[in-house]
Amino acid sequence: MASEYVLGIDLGTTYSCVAVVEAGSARVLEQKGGYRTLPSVVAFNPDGSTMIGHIAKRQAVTNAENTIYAAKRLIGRVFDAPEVARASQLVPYKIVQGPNRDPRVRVFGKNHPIQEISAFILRQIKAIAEEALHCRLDKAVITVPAYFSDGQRQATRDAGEIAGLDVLRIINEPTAASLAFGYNKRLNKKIAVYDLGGGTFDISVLDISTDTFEVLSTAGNTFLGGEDFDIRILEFIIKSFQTEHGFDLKEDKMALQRLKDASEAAKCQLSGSLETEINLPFITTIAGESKHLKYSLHRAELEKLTEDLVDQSIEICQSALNMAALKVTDIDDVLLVGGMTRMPLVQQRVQEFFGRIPAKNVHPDEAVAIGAALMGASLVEEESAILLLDVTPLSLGVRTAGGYTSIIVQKNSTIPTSANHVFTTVTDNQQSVKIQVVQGEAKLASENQALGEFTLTDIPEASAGVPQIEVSFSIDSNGILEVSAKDLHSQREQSIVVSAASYLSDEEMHSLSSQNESQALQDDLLTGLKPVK
Amino acid sequence: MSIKFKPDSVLRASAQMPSALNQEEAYLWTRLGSPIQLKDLQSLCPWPEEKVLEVLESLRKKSGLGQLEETPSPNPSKPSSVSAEVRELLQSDKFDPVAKEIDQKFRKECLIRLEKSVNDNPFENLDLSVSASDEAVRRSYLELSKKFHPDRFFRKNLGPYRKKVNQLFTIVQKSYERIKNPHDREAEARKLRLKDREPSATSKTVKSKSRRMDPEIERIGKAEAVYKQGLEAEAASRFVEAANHYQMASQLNPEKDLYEKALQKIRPELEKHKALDFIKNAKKALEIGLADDALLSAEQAMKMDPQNFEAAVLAAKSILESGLRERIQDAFEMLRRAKVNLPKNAEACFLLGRVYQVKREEDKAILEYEEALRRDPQMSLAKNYLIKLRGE
Repeated sequence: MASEYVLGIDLGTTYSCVAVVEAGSARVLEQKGGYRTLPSVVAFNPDGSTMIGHIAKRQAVTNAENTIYAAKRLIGRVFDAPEVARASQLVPYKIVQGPNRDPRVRVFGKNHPIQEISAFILRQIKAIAEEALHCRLDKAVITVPAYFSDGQRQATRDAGEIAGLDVLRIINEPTAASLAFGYNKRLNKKIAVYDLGGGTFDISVLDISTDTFEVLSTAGNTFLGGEDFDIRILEFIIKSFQTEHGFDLKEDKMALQRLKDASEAAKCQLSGSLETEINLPFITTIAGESKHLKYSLHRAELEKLTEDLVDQSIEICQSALNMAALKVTDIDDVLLVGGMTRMPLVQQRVQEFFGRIPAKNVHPDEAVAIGAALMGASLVEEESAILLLDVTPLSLGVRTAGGYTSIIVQKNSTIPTSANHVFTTVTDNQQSVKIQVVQGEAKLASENQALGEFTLTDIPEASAGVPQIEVSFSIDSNGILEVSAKDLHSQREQSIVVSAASYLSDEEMHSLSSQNESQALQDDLLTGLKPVK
Repeated sequence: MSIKFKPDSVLRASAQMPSALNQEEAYLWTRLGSPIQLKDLQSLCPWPEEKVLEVLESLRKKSGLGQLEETPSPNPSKPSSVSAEVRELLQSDKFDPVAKEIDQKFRKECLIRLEKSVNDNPFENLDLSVSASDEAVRRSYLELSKKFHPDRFFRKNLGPYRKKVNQLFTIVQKSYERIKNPHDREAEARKLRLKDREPSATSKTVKSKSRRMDPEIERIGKAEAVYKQGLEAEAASRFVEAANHYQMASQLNPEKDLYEKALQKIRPELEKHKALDFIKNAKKALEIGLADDALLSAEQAMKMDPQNFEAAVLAAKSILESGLRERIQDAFEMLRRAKVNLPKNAEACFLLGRVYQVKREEDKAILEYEEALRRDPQMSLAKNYLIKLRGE
């Protein structure tokens, strides 16, 4: 039997982190070599084997097309979403359309679902933890950005399942960070968590009263993060290089990957120093002649390039406060989470906006994993120590006549929650009704994210408008939606499966998990670790 | 002699502020301006609980008896308020292997809370008086959230109580949403006061019983209202609408056969009405050359209203136009009846003539064409056929 430890996993866009509660306190589990975070990178070899984490990141330059990073930006989205199109332009690997309109990455002629890529990372994390704790582990709490939609949460949970994890709960990253901040401290205050990570931005406003963590509002952007800052540097240098040499570095995949790494490194360095140098000898060959790239970048230049991104995040902070009906002065503490909050400009703007110095006692890279571990431990305890009252970030509704959205669950409703809506027929003796479920705030249903649709069948014959079919939405503590329907006349219930576009079929889930199992077994043989059953 | 205050006693100061109060007593007095539960008062005051009792006692002495009212608030979980239904449900839990393992006190509380939640009173759902303070509302909300949050039972098997607990959590959340800010709270309190003025019930037990019946009464009342709408629609000859209303009324309240009878009564009218629709469809289909569809519609119309011979004419015409030889005898029968019943209809005779021609009975065809022309001298088609036949 696996141990009672519950892993707290921060599955990040660029880096991931894992923590566990031992003897009442949470700690981050280190990898061999003392690393405390793992690059969320998966690289494929021609023979089908994979490299994950640091080794994958290190070889990315020479194997750019087969090295998958930032998969989190794609997970649970539909192929034709604008975010997917944007990502396609920026990554050296190939994104193709899967059978359910889901994006997939194409490597060595094989299409991999994004859930599978994330599962590779999660499996590696599981292995790291098992090695650190010397026991078999299978329970986990995985974090997602608060602003993730139902589809993105579902896909993340599926990734966990493929990796052989029993995902006890999906929790929101800023909420997790607040647990790390306030657990066991008997606090009584309102806090704001500003979480700017590798790929996503979230702001959550919470009310902490001792062991109860109540989210008052949450807002964010799932496509605003450190990667966007890197891209600004990258594009700036590509442009400079083009004016100087008349050559577009985007055409050279290997050069692009080197430049991407260098941009990220330069950005990190500029958090500590005022100036840095990007030095990439032999970056490319133009007409048989080797070219070198050498630029020095000043912090002020970086700030000019990325100022609008920071401003965007501050605007979102204001709307989160508005939704919580609070003023800036009502906030007692501000937490900074995510690697990007090391940037001096970010700290400065947050401090200006909230009018106070952010709390220093949370680790920007580790707080989320720590909080997830605390939540996991609380869940399996006999009497749970933490009460988490989280909210759903986006409104949930259905498409009604005329193509409008009719909202059934308002955004920022405390979860778990449920609500219902009564449908009827439009023609005589109509036997079925098609219902389309959407998530988002737009008035027109087509502008919101389609979660899926289902058809109610076997409606008893009656004149138009007579049958009354009650459709119930219930959102569980993971923020995941379930739908059921009842004919109010016959009181007969129908269970309904909302089949969203980006979900994996049962067969595919099954085949991916069993692949993973056999792979795990092989690894066990290699490391000499045996499952204790 | 001191008088014991219970935590759920409701206190209020009923007279003007006595003179010569010290600072603490004056503070407490201002808090007693509106009725407040002792436990709320204790949480409001910045002193320990015993201290509050002490100050209250001295206040009572100074203000004289009768100035401070004390009324025990109704306790929802008192055994006396357990209804027969709840007792029965608790009994039946004994036969559920999962439910019987759950603490009986907890089960009882769940059932009582669910039962009274039909009153739709957010204050009652959160164990609050209508005058509860911000703090009291929030404290009660957090306490109850913790009690019923599904996470508390994450690894427990609750069997039939899983659904009840989830329901209670949602009730707590929604009640809190309604009264969490003072403005909304005041509005909800006003609504309740209006409701209480309704002369429906006198004693408390009767009240709770009649409220529990609410959905039932509502259903019956709604059925009657829907039926009346149906009557109005029928009076205005909107038969389809009337029928829909009667049907809905009878679904809402199947015991009352008046609704069903009204529906039966209106049915012939309704079918005549529907027949007209089908006739319209059939004509349209014929115009655009879809004779098969036209035949289906016309036959539906005939079924709905056997006395509508226009439908018969259309059906026969469709048969002729679609060239359905095997149905020619049907067309013949329809047209013969239509000719008799529609003495002014020229088309029936003309079509009958066509049928005779198909049957190679030209003499009879000539007679029919002549009859068609007698009925409508302008009918050029009949003229043409007649000329052709005579010419041969």
